[in-house]
Amino acid sequence: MELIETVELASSASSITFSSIPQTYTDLCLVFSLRSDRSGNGDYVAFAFNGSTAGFTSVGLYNFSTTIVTQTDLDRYATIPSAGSVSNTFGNGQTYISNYSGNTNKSFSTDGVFGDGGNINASLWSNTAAITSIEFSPAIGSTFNQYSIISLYGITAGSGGATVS
Amino acid sequence: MSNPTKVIVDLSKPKGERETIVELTAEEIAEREARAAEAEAQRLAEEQAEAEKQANKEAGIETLKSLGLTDEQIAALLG
Repeated sequence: MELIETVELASSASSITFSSIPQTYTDLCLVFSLRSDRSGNGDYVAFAFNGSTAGFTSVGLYNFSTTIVTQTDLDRYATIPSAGSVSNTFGNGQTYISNYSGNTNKSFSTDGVFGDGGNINASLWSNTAAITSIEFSPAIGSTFNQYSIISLYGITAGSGGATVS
Repeated sequence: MSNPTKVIVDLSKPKGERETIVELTAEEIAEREARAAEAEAQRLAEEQAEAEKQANKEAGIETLKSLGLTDEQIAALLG
């Protein structure tokens, strides 16, 4: 697992995009610490791959306070805190994208937790193009807060462990 | 007042030169606002559906109680 890049926002921003992603790894992993400016309690992360928000399907299990709900076919993923959440807290989570440079549809998983909730989400991007850019944005709020952080890691099959033959 | 910005990290460039901060265009702002409104409407619909489900559950429990079932019997039925 190799760190490709980390971004920390010096001021609020509406989205963070990694472009020209190297096609030299097997999988990608994004680890994040985020908060949005939505006025209510909680927001979600939304994705675009290669600049597109089309072709995404997902199913997720979400827990808000004491309520657990199942949601399907959303274009929103990890839960993160927002302006109405516990102050000065950031939610942490990760997204794992398998075989991002292959010529098949792309499956990915996302989880996210913060003081008032959390989720785990299984998703599919029905597109056979290699993923060359990934955009993160808040699904409901306008911007991610200052000090939000996203790190992009590349994972190479068989590295850092035994290779199965 | 300036427009919101987006951060683009171009990984083809050397480290330290990758990050660019760009103001959103009016079209991008409109598109993002439409997406956010849709996401908020969907969230509200789910919240309402969950509240209705909970209200139906509580009404059902009251009906069972009025038929003479104990709290333990109702809990066993609900699993």
